[in-house]
Amino acid sequence: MRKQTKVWIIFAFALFIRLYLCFQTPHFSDGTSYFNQRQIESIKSTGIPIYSDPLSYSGRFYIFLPFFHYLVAFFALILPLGLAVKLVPNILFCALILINYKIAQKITKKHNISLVVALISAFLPVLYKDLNTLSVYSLVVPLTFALLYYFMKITQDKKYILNFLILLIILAASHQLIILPLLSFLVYLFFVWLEGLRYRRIELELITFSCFFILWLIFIIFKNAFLAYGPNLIHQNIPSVLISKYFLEFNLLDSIFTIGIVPFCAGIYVIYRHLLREKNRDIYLIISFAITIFSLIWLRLIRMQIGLVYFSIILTLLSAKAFEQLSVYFNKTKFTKYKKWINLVLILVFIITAFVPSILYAASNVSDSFTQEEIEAFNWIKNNTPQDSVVLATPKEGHLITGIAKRKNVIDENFLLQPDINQIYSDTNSMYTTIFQTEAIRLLNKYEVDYILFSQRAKAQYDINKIQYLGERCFTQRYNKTIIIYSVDCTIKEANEN
Amino acid sequence: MKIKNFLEEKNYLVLIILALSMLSLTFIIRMIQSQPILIGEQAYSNLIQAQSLGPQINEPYVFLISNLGRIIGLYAASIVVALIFCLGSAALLFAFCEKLTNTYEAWIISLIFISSPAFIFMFVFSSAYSLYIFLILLAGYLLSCNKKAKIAAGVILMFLSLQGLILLLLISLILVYYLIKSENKRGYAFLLAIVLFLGVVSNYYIEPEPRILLQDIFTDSVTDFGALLGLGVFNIFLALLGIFSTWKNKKKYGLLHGFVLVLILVMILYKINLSVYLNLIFSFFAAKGLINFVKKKWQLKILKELTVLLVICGLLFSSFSYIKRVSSKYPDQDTIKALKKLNDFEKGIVLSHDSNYPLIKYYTGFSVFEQKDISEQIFQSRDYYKTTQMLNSSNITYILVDNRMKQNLVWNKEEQGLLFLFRNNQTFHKIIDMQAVQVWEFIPLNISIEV
Repeated sequence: MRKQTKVWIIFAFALFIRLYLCFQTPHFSDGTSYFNQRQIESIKSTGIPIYSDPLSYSGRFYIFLPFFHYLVAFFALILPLGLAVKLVPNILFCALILINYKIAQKITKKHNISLVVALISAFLPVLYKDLNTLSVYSLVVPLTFALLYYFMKITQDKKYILNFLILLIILAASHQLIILPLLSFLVYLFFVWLEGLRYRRIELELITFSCFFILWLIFIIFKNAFLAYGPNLIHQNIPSVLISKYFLEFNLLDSIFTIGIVPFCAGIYVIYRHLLREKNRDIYLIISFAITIFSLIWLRLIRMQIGLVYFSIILTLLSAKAFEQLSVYFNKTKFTKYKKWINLVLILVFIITAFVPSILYAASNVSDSFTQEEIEAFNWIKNNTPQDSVVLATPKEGHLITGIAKRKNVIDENFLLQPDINQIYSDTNSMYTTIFQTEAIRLLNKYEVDYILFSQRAKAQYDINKIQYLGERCFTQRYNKTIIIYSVDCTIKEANEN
Repeated sequence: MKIKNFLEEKNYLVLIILALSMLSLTFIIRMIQSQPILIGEQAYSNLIQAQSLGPQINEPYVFLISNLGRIIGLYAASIVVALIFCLGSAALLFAFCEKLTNTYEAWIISLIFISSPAFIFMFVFSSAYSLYIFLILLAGYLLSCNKKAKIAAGVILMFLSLQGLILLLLISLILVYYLIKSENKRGYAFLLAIVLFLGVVSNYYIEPEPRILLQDIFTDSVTDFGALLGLGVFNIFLALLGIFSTWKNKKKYGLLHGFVLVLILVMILYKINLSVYLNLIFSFFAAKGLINFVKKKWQLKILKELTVLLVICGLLFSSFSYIKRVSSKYPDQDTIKALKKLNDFEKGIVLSHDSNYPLIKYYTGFSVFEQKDISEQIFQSRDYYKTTQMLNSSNITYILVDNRMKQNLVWNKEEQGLLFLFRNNQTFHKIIDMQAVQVWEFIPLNISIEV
């Protein structure tokens, strides 16, 4: 069998597992997927994404980079939308296997070890936590590592410079996390200087160009956001009560379990070895990524989930070096005759610590997806309510109000550039939890809410079994299945001031 | 070649035209939008002081406006004085840098300087910074000339030392620089001693120069993060590159590196915005960084050209973005119209946010209520009797409320505090109602309680 074939087998197997699990449900597991889907639908029909949205928060502007949406929209021209939005992200995530194989081969120049790295990359538990989502990160993460790969290759052939530049532009057009490789390159330069190595001129030039290009692009696109929030833009205007949920504190045990114990230990060992003993530019580059990501996670400047995705892949790549050194060591020892048994044990460890957790995470994510009954409720809203209705729902369901029901929402999870977000979040909480009807109607009138969606998710989020202030006079139950939908029939009028 | 020769012959003329173009953009935008030309409460505060000013040594900028205002009017004088000092600063910086380096580098430094947000601030907000920067550059230039010029520089520095501790610090840094570089150490040491003595003594008797305080060093000193007075991100980045590229040449640039560090430390420790002064040194290092780019041989020429283009675009982007933002700054046309209309009413005491008081005083001549703690209580109270009692005892007749006050300056919720009480139109009679500003007249009711 050709060497490349084995990698493709791993790719195909991982893709099969991902698609099999993903297609257990036609729906997604998070609200942001429906936002992305809506953007894709808009590109498909009009050619441009929705930047001025009359539905979200009853009217607002978005700032985001649309390349991912254009990419999926392109495939949606050929395939049915429902298929494209599931297939494309999973193919992109699986592309990481091929990229990591190439990087591992560059580092170790050994096919078997690169295959092991590819296999580990295929079943990193953290990559299965958000399996059933339509996420920009499915493009951004592989692109970042492809960028890393081409950066390693630029001294070999000038054609890789062009590849690097093309990927840089694509990544810059996809997500603001382009800042991550930029910071990592700067840390890499610092490492090179620290270790007394000579700067490679072409690397310096590319990094300089990348820095200015990314800086310029970020400040052009996010100008208004920077003016509104300054450096706090990193926290994306997330309501203050939610920040600790999105930017979690680093927990070592949790992280080890999510990353996988084998890549974690192997990766840490390689970092230790190369910081203190050996000098290797390629490893320094990867270590720079590791340090950058870890610092961002530690300082809570990046969401824990996405930070762990990057960190796990980086440690997996570093583990290639550990496996190489381990292999050399074993060949010198008496244990070499037990190689088959050792490989068997390692496979068992891999299955227990990586494969099984990956499947469990994926199953959990799939089970958390929006159910058919929930989607039916949103479709009912679309078919049975006036077009300019405002529907109250939880932030997580907000994008389904706009994406499926095609109605205005009060709040959703896209918080950036939304003024008074803390007030809106607090008011939404009150509209579900207050016991006073007057207060509830005042708030409902403030946001011009016409319908209240009361789902199992709202019950879980607000820890309630029912909305206390609902009475026959002002609220009519319009829909009652798994989700209950009430119409708001009252308004508060001011008494005559004179 | 013809263009190069022309530029070399008409250095100052071209530079002044470019600086003038940069500075006038904000005013042109405001004129197109029919907004008042002067921006910010400081400009109007200067006008009020100029109206009533006698010769005062600690307000030289206002003193100049006051005197020129007798010929061309205070409003025009405010603009002209700032313009003269800003253009003069640009020309002096060019001359000074041409002496220290060469014409090419002087051009780059000056172009970066005149396109910087801090330079635009000096003019647009008609601030005394323009005078101080002009005098600092003039003194610096004269110190590098002949003996008579050095004496004149000494006089200027002594005058500046009376203007506050920040300027004293800057002058001391300049004199330390010349003290170390020059052969006539005794002369500079003597001048430094006099300047320090004058500065320290005057600090007890004269009010310090106007200072802008920092709450957060990033958001309040970087214009791309929303600061009004600050440095552009690209200016900072280029300057850091310039500092890095000159780091090894400690003999030539070590002192300047030290000055940057001192200024940044003062900003961090004392939370005073020194961006306008830091801008001078940063423009120098930014130019060094840019020249370094251009001079170096790159393996990929196209990459070099693209990078230089990005740098220039980035610098211009910071400037134009800043100009666009300040063009829409307070005050607006509605506020001026409202104040002119208020003149038709009987004179009385006006309650509003402090930032409105210079405008109110300038356009109406009405008295303003300046007791901040009582103002705050009045604004936040929803208690009708308590509020009316405070308004009564303070003899407040009018209350001016603009959109800025409703958007976090005073209130951050609808019908918060006094806004709720405005519903009572027997006590609060709305006399002026514009889109951006409203004025209420407070009509105290005689309330008697029968037992």
